[in-house]
Amino acid sequence: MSNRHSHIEDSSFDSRKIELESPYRLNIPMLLLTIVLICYGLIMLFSASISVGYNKMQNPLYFVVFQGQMTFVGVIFIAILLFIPIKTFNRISLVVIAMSVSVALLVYTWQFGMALNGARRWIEVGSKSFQTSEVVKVALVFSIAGYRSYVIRMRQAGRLLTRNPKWQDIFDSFIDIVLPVSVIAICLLLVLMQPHVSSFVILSAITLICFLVSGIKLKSWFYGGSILIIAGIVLGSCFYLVSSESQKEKIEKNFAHVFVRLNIFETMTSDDDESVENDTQPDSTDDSSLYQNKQSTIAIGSGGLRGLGFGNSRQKYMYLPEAHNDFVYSIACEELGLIGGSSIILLFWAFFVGGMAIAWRTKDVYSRILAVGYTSLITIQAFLNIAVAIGAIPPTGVTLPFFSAGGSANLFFLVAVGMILSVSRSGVKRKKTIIVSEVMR
Amino acid sequence: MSNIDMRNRNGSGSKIITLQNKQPTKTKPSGSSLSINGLVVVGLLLVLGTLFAGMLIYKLYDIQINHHEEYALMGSSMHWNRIKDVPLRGDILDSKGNVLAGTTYEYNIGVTPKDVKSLKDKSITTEMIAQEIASIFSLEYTEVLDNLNQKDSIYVQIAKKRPRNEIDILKTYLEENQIGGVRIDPVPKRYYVHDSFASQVIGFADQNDNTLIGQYGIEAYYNDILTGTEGYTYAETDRNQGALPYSPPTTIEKQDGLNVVLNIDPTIQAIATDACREAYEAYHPKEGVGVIVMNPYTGSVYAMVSLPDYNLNEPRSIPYAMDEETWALMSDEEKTNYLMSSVWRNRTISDTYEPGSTFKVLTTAIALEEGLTFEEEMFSDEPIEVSSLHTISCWRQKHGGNHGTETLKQAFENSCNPVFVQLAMRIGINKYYQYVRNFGFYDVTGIDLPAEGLGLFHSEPSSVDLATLSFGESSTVTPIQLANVFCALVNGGTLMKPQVVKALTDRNGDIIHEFAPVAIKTVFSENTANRVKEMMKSVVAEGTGSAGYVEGYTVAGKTSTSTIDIGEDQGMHVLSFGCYAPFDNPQIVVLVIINKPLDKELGSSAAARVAAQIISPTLEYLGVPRELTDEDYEKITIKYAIPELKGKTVAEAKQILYTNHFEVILGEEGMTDKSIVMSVYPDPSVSILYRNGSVVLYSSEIVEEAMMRQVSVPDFVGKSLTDCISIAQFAGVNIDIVGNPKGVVVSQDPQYGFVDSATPSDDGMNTESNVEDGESVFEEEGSDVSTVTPVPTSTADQNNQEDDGEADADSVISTPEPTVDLGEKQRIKVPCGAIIKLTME
Repeated sequence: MSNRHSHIEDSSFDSRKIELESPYRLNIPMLLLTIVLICYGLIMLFSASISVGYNKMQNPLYFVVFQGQMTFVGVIFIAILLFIPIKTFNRISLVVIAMSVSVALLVYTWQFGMALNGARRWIEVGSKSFQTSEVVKVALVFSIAGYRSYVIRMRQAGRLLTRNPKWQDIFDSFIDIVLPVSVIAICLLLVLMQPHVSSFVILSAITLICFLVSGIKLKSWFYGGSILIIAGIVLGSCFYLVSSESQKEKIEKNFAHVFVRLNIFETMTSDDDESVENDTQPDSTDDSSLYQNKQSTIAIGSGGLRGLGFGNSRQKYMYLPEAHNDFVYSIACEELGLIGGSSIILLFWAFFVGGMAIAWRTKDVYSRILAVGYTSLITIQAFLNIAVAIGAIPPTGVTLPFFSAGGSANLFFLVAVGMILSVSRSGVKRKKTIIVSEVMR
Repeated sequence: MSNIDMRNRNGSGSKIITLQNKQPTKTKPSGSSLSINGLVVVGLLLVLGTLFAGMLIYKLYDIQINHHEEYALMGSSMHWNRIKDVPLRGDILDSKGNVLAGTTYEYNIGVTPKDVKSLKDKSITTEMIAQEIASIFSLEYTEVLDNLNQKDSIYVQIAKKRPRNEIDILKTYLEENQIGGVRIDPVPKRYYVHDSFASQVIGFADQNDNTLIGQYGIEAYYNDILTGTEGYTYAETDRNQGALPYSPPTTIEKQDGLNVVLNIDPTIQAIATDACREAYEAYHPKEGVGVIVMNPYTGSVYAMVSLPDYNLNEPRSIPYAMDEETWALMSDEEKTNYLMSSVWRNRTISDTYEPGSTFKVLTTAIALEEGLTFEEEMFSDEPIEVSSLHTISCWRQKHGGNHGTETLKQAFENSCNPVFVQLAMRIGINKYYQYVRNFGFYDVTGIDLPAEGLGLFHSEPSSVDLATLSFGESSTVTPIQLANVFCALVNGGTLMKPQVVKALTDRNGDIIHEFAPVAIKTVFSENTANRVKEMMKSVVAEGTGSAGYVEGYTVAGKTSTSTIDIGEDQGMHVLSFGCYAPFDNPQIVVLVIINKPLDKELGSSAAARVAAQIISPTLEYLGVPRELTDEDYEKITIKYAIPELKGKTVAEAKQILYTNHFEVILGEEGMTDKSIVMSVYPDPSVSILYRNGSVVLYSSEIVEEAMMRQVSVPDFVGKSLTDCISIAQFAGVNIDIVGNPKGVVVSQDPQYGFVDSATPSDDGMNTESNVEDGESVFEEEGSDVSTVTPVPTSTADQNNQEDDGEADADSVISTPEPTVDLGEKQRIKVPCGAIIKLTME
């Protein structure tokens, strides 16, 4: 008790009741979970990336060192975020900035980004490159939370009312759904044009989840949804009529790999033939497909119950491409077996439950959206990646947070974790304690 | 206030009530309506996430536990690999142990384009890397850049078969800038030390899938021995076949190839090659020149030359004596056809030809062996009608004469056909062919070289066949078959297996296997052999083979001119000369074949001359002392007139001079076979020269000696006659002997020595001129030339080939006179080809 900050309400003082609000308290289990995931991730990356690092960079420690550096920066971010009350960020100006930066980055990527194998997803900063969609994922959740919170504050203040009450529901739906979705749609379109379908899917899912937990009226859903569907049909057909044949072909070509992937996956489940398919080769719609899937399954299957032992993976010696990246999980399963593989799933599951528990206890929409959004983001990424690795879904090119090499993406995940932890400290309802004093004066 | 938890918190008795507050009620804007409850969504998400996690773990369990063995097996079969360990190919050495063919490495350079970037300096662009690589390997910059920009490719080859030094530069560059993605693969490469030396005997090896495979010659015949045995390592590997350290590998050791030591003697091979080139350039025979030099007792092949030959290091480039323009106009297919049919082919073992008169040696031997004749028996050479269509007469009949009656020995010397037909008829078809079969003509000799040809002999011979074969027509042999039978004759009747390889050695040079001489059978009695040899001796001494005469050594042999009767080559001849020397103690058997020279008038003495040119230095090299008889001295000092050459082309002049036993020197640089001869020195109208004298040709009008090529006067004083001849030939001057040729030189004119600048000599010597001195490079050697054995080196060999058609090899070697010597220390000079008077006592 001694270390508690107590807030004594004057009103209860008189009635000899002291109501204490519990102080800001960090969610320790969540913090521990984060530390475990970070360490586990670095250790597995170390093992998985040795061969790739040696072969591609002449330095076996190349990937793990860079990952470590970025993790260090990320941990500092977390530490800072922990001491800032989450409401500090709840400003509409920050939302405007975050969305502007996102759109600007995406436009920049679209125009000047680094093209690799026909996809323009990266921009170069110094000697490194990073995927802008990773920033957008973090910024999007942040923005939705800020926007929703702002709208609610405005309404509480009696603003955002129409003169004619008949139109109020329509106006509300515009504010609740149409306006924010339109802005987000711009980002989504830019991501889709890169093309980066997996990011598009994740962003869409996160957007939906955030909207679902933000307390929007059913009427708004109905009206807003109708307006958006009509607008989408109109815009789509306009575009179809205006655009030239060559543009259409280009678009079809851009997304050919998605359909090929799906096709491949269908054939793969019936027959284990070879193929290559990975994130860095979005256009390899070729005969050599499926190779990666097969190699990944072999890696996991060879692991057995206990695995070959840490560091003893064979598949990482160039058999499994992207062993340091999209397929770290497969290497972990090969080395640590079912025990290691399921432990990673369980850790992410625990992270998910922990994050949702924080969301459950949040005191306002802002905190709830942040907690749900970021928890979902990390969990969806993780589960999608694992599902790809074990061959449950076709390859998507989603990385495994904390495990996959890719320092910058990891940095943004750590920022997201920082936000969750910050919410857990300063965004949850605090216990109220009433002390009934029996002390006689 | 549902969950009230009241406890005594401390001794003072204060109670703490913990309240779980409900969600604070919100003030809804006008008119509340239903909204989606965030907590319900959170709960739903929790359920969904948990279900998904459960599904993932189930799937994981399915793969890792249920299908574990299946995947583990797939993994192992992929990880365990058999890694080849390529053995080192053995070297090919000559009989003195010098390396003729060895193995080195060259390198292929490839890149994984997307990994080619500097980890150290981001400012190094792909363009800069492409620029650097292009400059190291002298490649097209744009091409390299295109390759580096193929980002989708896993491997793009940039350069092939690059030498070590270029690779070292590349490696330094890559390491300095930490550029990745470049792969350097060593591939074995065969190198041949002396380019075209014994090219058809050695053959070449092509690189195929990281191993070298012999294509021709020794490389092909001994391919398995040279290659060795591949080793294997069975180990867990990475995808690039590099062994991993997890489990002990199973290894089968490789065995390096053995070295092959040849019987080919570098000096004799060089001598024979030079003699052949001279003949080839004089006659341009359509089917080349072939020479075999063998040891008659062991069957060892000392030298084997087949012209045209080629550079073993670049077997597909322009071969010897090929006109560059013609070559450039040929299509790739034509080139390959030409190379395969005429150049790579070892004519001395693969070509077949009508042996002609050389076969008379065998006819005579059979008759003597059977006791059907004797040397002094008298024969008539009148034409013999062997059938209604065939009448065989002596070659002299064409010229309207005949030999009348003559002894067998004379008929042998004169190469008179009807006599041998008579002998063959006496022997009879069955017996004759039984002998022929016994000599091995129906079989290959078994020489250790690939693609040995087999001559054509009648399986059911008629009397016409018998009659024509008696003087070597209508059947064909390979040169090696005939040379081998000659060996049998020389060694007293034992047919040996011809052997090119002497021994096999390991990497340390220790002998693993030595090929002992293999005697196949005895085909002559010693007595018969000796009697035939005696007759062969007189062929050179008195008969058709006089061109085979070598001063100081007795040569015995038999000439042959066989005529092509049919086909496009009708009327062309195959000139050959089979011989051995010295007569008393035979050391070598030499067979020379000049196959279809363009000049149809050319006689077999051309072949005999090549043999003489080979025998003389070879025997000297083998340490056989010269024994000059009175007759020799007489022959040596006979002088011959220089034929008229003005207005002829250099090629024609060369042929004429060669046939007349003169050495040709081209006086001016840039003269080719097509140049017209304008001046000849010494002047043919006033000068006569000894046999093998030097004649200098000029393609411009020479009016005074000062304009001529100058050479230093060698020192002859104190030298014997044969030494003087070699010195003079070497220096490019002629000699004229006064006095007793059996003695030594006491004085010479002009003198050997240095010109004193104060008292210029009035010999018309061009003392102050520092015109290019063709022979100055030999000056020092010329001064103590007594030790000079004309042993051509392989580099001369090489020059010869490269400079073919440009100028005579001797004349190309020209070095400007060192200027420091000008003035006081200027050697006394004469024009090249000048006659130096030697007084001998």
